[in-house]
Amino acid sequence: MRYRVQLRIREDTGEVELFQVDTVDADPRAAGHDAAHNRVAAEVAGLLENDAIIDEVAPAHIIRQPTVYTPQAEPEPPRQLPETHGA
Amino acid sequence: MCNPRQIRIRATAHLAEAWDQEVGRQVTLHGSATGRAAVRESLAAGLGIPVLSALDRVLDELEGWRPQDGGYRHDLEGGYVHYHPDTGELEIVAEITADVEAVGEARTTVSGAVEDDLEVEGVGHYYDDEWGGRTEATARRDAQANADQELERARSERIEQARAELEAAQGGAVEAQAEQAARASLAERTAARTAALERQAQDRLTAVGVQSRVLIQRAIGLAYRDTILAYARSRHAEGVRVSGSGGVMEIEFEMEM
Repeated sequence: MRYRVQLRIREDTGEVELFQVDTVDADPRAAGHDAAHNRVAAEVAGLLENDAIIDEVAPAHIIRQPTVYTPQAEPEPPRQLPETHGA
Repeated sequence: MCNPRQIRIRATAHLAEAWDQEVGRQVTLHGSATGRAAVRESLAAGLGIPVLSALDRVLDELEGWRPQDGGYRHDLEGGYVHYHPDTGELEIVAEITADVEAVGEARTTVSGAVEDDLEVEGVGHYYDDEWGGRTEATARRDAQANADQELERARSERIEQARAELEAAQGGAVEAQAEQAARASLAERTAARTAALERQAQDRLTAVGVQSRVLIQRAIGLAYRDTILAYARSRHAEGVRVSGSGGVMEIEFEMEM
């Protein structure tokens, strides 16, 4: 299966604004599609974060990065999940 | 005016003097006190191992960070942030340093004595023809007066010398006492100043922490970039695109799995 990986990072803060893994040209109803997608999403997310939370936003997968490193003095506001236009 | 003549008179005296003498010393010592407040936070708990590996390389090249004690340190106004790769911890430190000065004094009274035989010579001048009223008799008086003055000068010199020798002999011990007092005072002042500075450092830690986290998060962002691009290469990804605008860096690629 073919996947598209997108990563958007703010340069001044290092904040990850978007980390998304989409399937490309795949039938989401095909057998094993979701399991394979989950596995790949987890593999890519695991590179960056130990316990990445993976959210599915139909029909694509969005890996939400809640906070890799949370400043304790000034907690970050809740992250807004981006819209997806995946497969 | 005929040839000048001179009369020499030798004078001797036995010097025996005793006195009490105060010997004092003051020592000023300078030091510094540092108040420190620190907090450690784990990056390893959250970041993936590839990112932690990339972070080392990023910090090695990132401006403002320098290698130190097996890690990387970035100095800040009022403190510093130190990343320790061996533990994956971030150490945030607020530091305030101030000069400290302390004075120590010591004095003691010592008894001095000197006993010596003094011998001096007085000289008087006259002329055979008693020119200028300078006769042998006046020359003898002059010589005696000169000898008396010399005797007094020798006496004063000898006593001063003895006092100086006593001062030098006792000065070392008195100075050591003064230095000991100064050290004790300096230690006390440093401890008090350090306690006050530590309270100030604790207050400053929040501000230093904010700066520190921004700096390390910026580096982590670059480590994310390097990690994901290395992953893309390892997966023979296609269409790898890295772009940046408006302070945002975007990476995109496709891969077969």
